[in-house]
Formats: sequence, structure tokens, C-alpha cells
Amino acid sequence: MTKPERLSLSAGTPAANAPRLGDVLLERGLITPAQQARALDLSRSWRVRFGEVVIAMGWTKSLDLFRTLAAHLGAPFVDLLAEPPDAALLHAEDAPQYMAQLLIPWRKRADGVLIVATAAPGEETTAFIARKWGLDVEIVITSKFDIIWTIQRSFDRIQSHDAVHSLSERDPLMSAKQIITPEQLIFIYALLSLLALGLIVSPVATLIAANTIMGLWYLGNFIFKGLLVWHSEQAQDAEGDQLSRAAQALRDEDLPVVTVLVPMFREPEVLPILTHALRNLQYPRSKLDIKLVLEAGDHETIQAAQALGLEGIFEILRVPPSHPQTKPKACNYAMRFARGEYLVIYDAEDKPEPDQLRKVVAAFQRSPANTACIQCRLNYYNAHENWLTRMFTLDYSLLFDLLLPGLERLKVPIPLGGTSNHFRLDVLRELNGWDPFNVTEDADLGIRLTQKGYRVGVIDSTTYEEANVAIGNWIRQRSRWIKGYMVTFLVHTRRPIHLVRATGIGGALGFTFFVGGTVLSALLNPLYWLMLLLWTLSHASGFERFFPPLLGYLSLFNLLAGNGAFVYLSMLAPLRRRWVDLVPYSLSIFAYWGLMSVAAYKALWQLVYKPFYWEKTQHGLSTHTAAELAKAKAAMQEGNQ
Amino acid sequence: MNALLRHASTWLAALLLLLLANAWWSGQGYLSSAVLQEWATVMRYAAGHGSYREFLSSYPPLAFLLNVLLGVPLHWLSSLPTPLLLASMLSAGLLALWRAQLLRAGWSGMASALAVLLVLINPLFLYLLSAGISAILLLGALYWFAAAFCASHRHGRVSDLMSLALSLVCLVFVHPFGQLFALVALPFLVLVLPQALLARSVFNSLLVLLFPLLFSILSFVYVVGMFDEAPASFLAAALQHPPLQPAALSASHTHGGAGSLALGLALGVLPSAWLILRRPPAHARRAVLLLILMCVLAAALQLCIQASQQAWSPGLGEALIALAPCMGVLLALLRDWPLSRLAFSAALAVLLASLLLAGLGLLQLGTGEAARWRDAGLGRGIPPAESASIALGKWLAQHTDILLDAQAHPALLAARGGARGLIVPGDEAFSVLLLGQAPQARFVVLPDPLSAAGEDQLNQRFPEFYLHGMPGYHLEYETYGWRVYERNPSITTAP
Repeated sequence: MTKPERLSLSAGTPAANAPRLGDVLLERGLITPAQQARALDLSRSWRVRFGEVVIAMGWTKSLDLFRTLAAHLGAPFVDLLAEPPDAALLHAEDAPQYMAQLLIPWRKRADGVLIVATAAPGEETTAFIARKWGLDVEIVITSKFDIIWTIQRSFDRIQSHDAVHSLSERDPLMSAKQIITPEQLIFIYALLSLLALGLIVSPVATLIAANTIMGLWYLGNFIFKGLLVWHSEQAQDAEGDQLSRAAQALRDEDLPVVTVLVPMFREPEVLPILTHALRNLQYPRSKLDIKLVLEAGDHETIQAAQALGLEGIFEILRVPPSHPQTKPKACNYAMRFARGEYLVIYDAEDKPEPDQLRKVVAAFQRSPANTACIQCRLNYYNAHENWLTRMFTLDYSLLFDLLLPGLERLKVPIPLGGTSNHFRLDVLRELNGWDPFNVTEDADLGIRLTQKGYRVGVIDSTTYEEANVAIGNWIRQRSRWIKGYMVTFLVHTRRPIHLVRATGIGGALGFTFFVGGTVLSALLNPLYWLMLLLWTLSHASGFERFFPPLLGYLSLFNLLAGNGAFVYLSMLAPLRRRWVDLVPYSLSIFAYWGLMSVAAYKALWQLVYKPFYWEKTQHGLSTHTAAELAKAKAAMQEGNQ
Repeated sequence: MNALLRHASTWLAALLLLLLANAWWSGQGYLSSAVLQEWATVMRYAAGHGSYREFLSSYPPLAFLLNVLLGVPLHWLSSLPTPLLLASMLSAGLLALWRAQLLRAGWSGMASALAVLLVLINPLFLYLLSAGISAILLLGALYWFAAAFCASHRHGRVSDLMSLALSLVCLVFVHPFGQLFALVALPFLVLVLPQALLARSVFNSLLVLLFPLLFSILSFVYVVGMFDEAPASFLAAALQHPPLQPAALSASHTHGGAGSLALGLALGVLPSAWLILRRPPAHARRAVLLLILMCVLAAALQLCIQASQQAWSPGLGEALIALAPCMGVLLALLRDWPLSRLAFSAALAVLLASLLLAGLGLLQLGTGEAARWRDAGLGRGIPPAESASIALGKWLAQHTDILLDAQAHPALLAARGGARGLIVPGDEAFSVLLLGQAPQARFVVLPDPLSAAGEDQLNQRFPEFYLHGMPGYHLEYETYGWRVYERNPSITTAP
């Protein structure tokens, strides 16, 4: 071990006559003169350290840089993997600070002087150390990855536990660890008993009553969705233009650090697409804190990620094995290592629009102070691959281009989409992150944010993904989503009065229709279609007693106007993107609804027997994805040359 | 909250004025045939004589449903003709909405109130009000259509296109004339679709605008088809439907059919064209489009009426009445006009000109319902035929167990004040009668088969009854082409 020399607390500033770090790197052949000049420019314009730029641009290896930096500062370099810190000095509750400041208390000398290892030497770090540990401290240099890995190794057990149980232990009513509370169980049991009793005592009247409730539900559901679309575009274009201008007006030096989480499981093949897309973001690279969140046992993906030789802004986080093995748990674990002011989740095959992060920062700046999340739109780059991808595109266009902006305008809680939701990290931590027991953790978090008094915004910036091309894969994915919606509905209706107080009557009703309505429609549709078939085949005989005139009228109206309205909403869905060629496909949406119902019944079965099971969606099946992959690889090769 | 209060007070003030106007016309004994029909429907449903078939398949369904669903509860609360009450509420709502939109466009409170007042006292507006719920809904639908048309032309947003498509549905299902307007407006739809959509596919773009209309028509055909052998017959309703004033068709005025176009020009085109020259091109294009649309709509309506009524050669007044619903387009045009002192003055000038022209036009009317409306408005009383109906209605009010084709004679029902104690179409007893059974009711009410009102279901079933009576019945009451037969006391009623 190299014995560290005592440093003053102004460490991080080289001697006045010392050469600049760039010159040292150049002298050692670690960067070229052109890279030095470019890095100098970028460090000025981004207002970051020179070293951060060369790492972010991938011009030098992280370890080489920090060794050179140590030499440049005249400070010792320690390899934390070879010389681990004294465990007694590390405190789990300080882990977020260690991560944010990129430092760690390393060891204590015999004379009582604390030695702190840092990867970010400088005045800010020195001031932090002074505040936290006083003046009798020595500073040594280490690499960023040494800090991250050491923290991970040191707090592995506790952080893994927190990733799973943080929400359920601190806010159990908001957790889906217990899917149905005893009170809910009693309510459902009472309702079913009442129905059974009614069917025994007065079957016709009971069926009429049940039918009436369902009819009103359907009516409310399609009127509500129509209203959402109606309100979706009021002043949206003008707002979008203003946001674009504000985003472009932001100066690089003022942009905050953004953490990007990319949770992946057994999908090494699409990794280059995402890394290519992230490199294309119009955002200072050194202000990106990108974490590839991989399961520790997923050696295939880990090796693929390592083989890509990614720049220093990419980190590979290995999530320790524990149950449930879900994406939210992995995200919760990774959140503990996040260093950004904001945090965003992308899927592995995502292609966010290049100006998305700038727009998000601008949107946060222009939004009310309680805005905790900005949801961007999702759509598909393989929309035209087959019938399913076209229908899926109509579905997503309706949801993200029309319904979510409508929810925002009507102040209804927004169930977040799976990716491209940008959070304020402090709020995310305050709310204990995602619920690992909910398989649509994003939708749940959106509702939870609103219940806790925060706001979710929606902006006009798109992330393109791969649409499912195979029906089996689609049903797996959709059944997970519907199961998640069921769980989310159960969790957030546990305290109906609280829900109404937190979101208003309109918000609570909107939540009921949007989340509950989606599930119930998918479950009930086959029953009503069957009834229609029987009614048509039997020439209406025998049905009259169950459909007295007003109910008959309501049912007929729902059958015609409701179905017509939903077909029409799907027809409107692609118009914002001018994808008018998809319009006729909306006429075939009945078949798509059939698939939804299959997925809904699968979801119901899983809710009972496997509530926490994560149905994995397989990515990379699309021919477009192969093309995207080829493009990304070509770009990488070009970059390397 | 202030805005809400302001809109509510506008609505209330407009409602009071409109109710006063209605009270004046009703006080003079005037009720339009459309209102009588709507009121009779309400009374029948309030007395439990409605039929599921009629409820589902009546055309135009939106007006019918609104009339029944809101009219029946109102009927229990008020003795006023509920269609007039509802029409007044809807009209006041339309005016309040228009004022709110003018205020949002930058008009001052006073200017917007003045504009609303000029519309409210316009004879065409008042005439539409007296023509009942369907006519006011047509005015509202045209206003919606024109506003959506402007918005689609200006922004081309999804919600604008949706609004335009739904307004077409509304047009077709609120009034038979709406079909004509929708049909005539079709070619104009291409003009407002965003170029980016049209460039990709004209067919798909038009599908977006027309799907709700096509789907609604097919749905209605499906529903009517459950009861009727000719489910699509409602599509010809506009040609079969009398214009807003049926009796006007028999008028013998010969002022020339081209009067309508000239009037359309006078109403809006000329003053607006003068303004267009002073507006930026984008606004001018939109305005020109709307004005052309308005004129084409009016001319189409006139031509259709003429085509269906060969003998009719409309005069200035009749042309005006047919033009009345196009006021909706005019209101949308004025609302959409960019604000300036000049625009404000011009808008008021157009409204004033329209008011004066409408007044002058109405003075030209000869006979017919519009003329009766004018005469009632001027306090000149009502023709004797109406008095006979009222007298018979009052007589019927003192009796029950009466067989009457109430759908064919709504005025009788209105004068009677209710349908309790009647046997009317839709009742099982009436249907059995048409299948061949002899009348069992105590009273049978029959019009003179040779009179204009003579073709009712009872006369068709019992063509000799009016003139020669029927065994077991004696003539109990007779007045101006009406006879009421009463069953002789010796006949026992079937259980």
C-alpha cells in the first residue's frame, strides 16, 4: 500500500507552476492534441472539469485519467478494490452523499487523521469534507468506478433490502405487497354475497340492476375518453413550440446532471441501439449519469455491455438477486446510486428524440414547483411492420398523444408510461421509489405522486420503441400491464376518501374510469359480445325481460355509440403525427380488443395465482430492430475510427 | 367564478327576454305546428302513451330525445308548452355561449351584450325559437359546424377535426334540413383538411371527417330496421319535410326564387366582402370560405324545397325563413373575425342589417305559418281553424276514454292540455283497432276526411265513420270540420 501524504483541505488545486491536466494527459499519450483542444472547449462551454469531458467522450480510460489526476495533484492514488476501506467508517445512511460527492471515508491513520478517497477533487469536495468530518482530514484520489463499486459492495445487503421493502415498510398502504387489504376483501365478499342473494331472491331485477350499472359504466367510460381527446390539444401546439424554443435557449453550462437508468434483463442484442441513441442526445455528455441496471446473474448481458467498451458515462450496476425479480426493484436499487438532479428511465431498445432531455429540463423550469415528473410520449419505429404493430401504434398514439395530455389538462392522476418518465430525484427518494410488487410500477407511481400532492406533466417529445411483432409476446406484455392496472386500482382505492381529497372528485372519477375502466372493459367485452350474438341469433326472444325499455335503449346506445366512439378515437390517434395511412386500420380494432380481452383474463388469473410474476417481453424480434442495430453498430465503428 | 356568474347572468337575462317573447306569441294564440307536435309528444309520454319503437326510431332522434327526456319532467313542473321552454333555454344557452366567445375574443362587455341583443331581437331568431327544439338545435348545429370549420382551417388540430366531424352528425340528426346542409357542405371539407394529411391520402383524411356521420347513419338504419321495413327512409326526410312554415308552400307569391340568393348576399356577403379587402389574407380566405358556404347552404335549401314542391315559387319572406338557420354560420363568422374597432362596428352593422332585412322580408309574407307568426307578433289575432281546434280540445278536456289519432292532431292535444284518458297510436288498444277490431272507446274524434287534416289513421281505417257514423255511436259534438261520436249507453265495454 502506498502511504498517503497529508494534504491540505485545498487539495484538488495543483501547484501554480504545474502543467495543466490536459498537457499531462497529452504528454502521457492518453489523448491527442485535437482531443485536448476539443475537451478544453467543451469543459468551458459545459462548465465541467476537463477530466470529466475526456471520460465522457471516451477518449481515455477512467483508471488512466484518475491515476494521472492523482499524479497531477501530487496526491496518492488508491485502488479501492485492492485496498478496500475500513468498514467501520462507512455508514449506510450516508451512501447517497458518498455517491453525490463521489467520495468515501477510506481509512483512519494511527494518529487519528481520517483519509477520504475522492474521484472529484476540488473546492466543493473539500468544503463538503470540512463540513462533514472537520479539518483533520487527508485526501487521496481514486476512480469514480472504485467509489461506486465500493459503495455497492459495502451496502449490498441493506440496499438490496431497501430496494424491495422501502415502500412497504414506510408507506404500507401505498404498497402492493399486500394486494388486497382485509377491508377490501370484506367489501368484495359483501358485494358478491349481495349479488348472489339478489340472484336467488329476484334474479331478473338483480340482473337488470347489474346491467344498468354496467351500462352506465360503459357510457361514462366512452364519454370520459372522448372528453380527454377533446381537451388534449387545446393550445398544445403553441405550448410545444414554446417549449422547443425554451429548450434550445438553455445554456449547456446551466444544465443539471441527469441520471439515466436502463434496466435490462437478458436482452444483450439491443444494447447498441440505446447507447447509440444516448450518444445522440443534445445534452452535455459529462452531465449524463447513465446506469445500465443488470441482474447480477445475467452474465450474458453483462458481458455484452462490457464488450461494447462504453465511455465513462456508462456504468454497469449489478442488482443482487432477491425476490421479487422485477424492473421496479432493479430501478429502486439503481436509484440509490443516482447522482443527477433528475432521473429518467429508458428501455434497452429506446430511441429518445435528441432534444428530449433539454425539453424536460425546460419543462421542469416552466412548471409549477410541485411538478415531480415529466412524461414524454412513446411511439414505435416499426409501426408499419405488420397488423399488430399498426394496431399497437394506434393504441400508443391514442394513449400518449391524446389521452395523457387530456388527463393532464383535466387534472386527473396520470398513470405513467413504462419509460421516458423524468423524475425529480429528491421526490422519487422521498416517495421510496417504485413499488417492486407492482408490475406496472410506473402507472402506480404516477397515481402515488398525485396522491402525495405532486404534479405530473406531459410534454411533446417522443421516445421511439420497438412494437411487439408477435401476438404471443404481445399478450404476455399486455397481460402484465392489465394485471398491473388491476393492482394499481386496488392499491389506490383502499382509501377512497383520501383519493377524492387528494385528487378531487373529477380526479378520482377519472382515475376510476381510466385505470379501472380499461380493465373492466377488457373483461366485460366478451360477455357483451356473446350476449349480442345470442340476441341476434335468437331474434331478441327471451331478452326483453332483462332489458326493460330504458335499459334497452342505454345498452343499444352503448353498443352503437360506444363502439363507434372508440373506433373513431383510434382513427384520430395517428393524426397528430400525420400518420394518416394508419387510419383505415382502426376499423379492425375489434380484433385488437379481442386480444386485449384474452390478455385481461390471463391477467386476472395471474392476479390470483402469480401477482408479482413479471411477464418478460422479448425485444429485438422486429426486422426494424435489426436494421436499427446495424445502424447503431455502424455508427459506433465510425466513431471508433 | 366571475366568468361563470357573468355567463349565467347572460343566460338568465336572455332566457327571461325569450320567455317574454314566447308569452306574447302564445298570448296571441300562436303555436307553430312543430311546437304543437313536440308538445303533443311530451304530453303523450307524460301520460304513459309513449312507445319503445317510437322512442328508438323517431327522426330526428336528437331533437326527439331531448324533447321527451327533458320535456316530460318539465311538463310535470310547468303548464307552459315545454318545447318552447326548452327552445328558450337552448337559445339562451347559445347566446350566452356566443357572448362568452366574443368576450374571449377581446370584445368588451357592452359591445358583446349589444351584439347578443341584436341577435335576440332579430325576427329570424325569434321565428326559429317559435319553431321549437328541432329548429333551434339546427341553428346551434350550424353554428357548431361553422365554428369547427373555422378552427380546422386555422389550426387543423385533432380536436378541431373531431369537432367538425361531430358537428356533421349533429346537423343530420337534429333536423331534416340538416341533411341538406351536411350534403352541401361535403365538398368544402377538403378545403379545411391540413395539407399534410391530404398529401398522404385524401381518402383516409376524408374518412376521419366522415366516419362518425357514416357510422351514425348506419347505426340509425340498424335501429330503425329492427321495427321498420324501410329503415333508410329517414334519409329522404328533408325532401318530405315541409319547410319551417308548411303552409307557406301554398302561398301564391311570385317574387322570384332567386330572391334567396340575393338575400343571402345582402345578409352577409356584401358588407363582409368590403371588410375582407382590409383583412390579412389568411383571415380573408377563411371568411370567404364561410360566406360562400353560407350562401351555398341557403341556396341549396331553397332549391331542394323548390324541387320537392314544384308549384312553389318563394317570395322574399319565404326565402328569408328558409335562410334563418344559416344565421348560425353568420354568428360563427362574426365570432371568428379578428378584433379591431372596424371589425366590431362592421359586425354590429351586419347584425343590424340582418335584423332590418328580416323585418322587411317578413312584411312581404302572404299566408302560411310564418305569416300567422308575424300577425300574432303584431297582435292581429289567429285564424278561426285554430279556434275550432282549441274549442274541441277544451271540450275533450272534460272527457276521458277518447279514441284519437293524437300524432296527426297535436293541436287538439295541446288545447286539451294532456293525454290522460286518451287512446292514441302506440297504445295496444289503438294497434288492435287498426288490425280490424271495432272501436270500443266511449268517444271517437274524427276530422273531415276532405279537409287538410283529414288523413289520419282513424279515417283510413274507418273511411265512412265521419260522414255516416257507426252502429252503436251517435254524433255528440261537431265544429269546423271535426266530429266527435259517442258510444250509445246500451253498448257494454269489453272488459
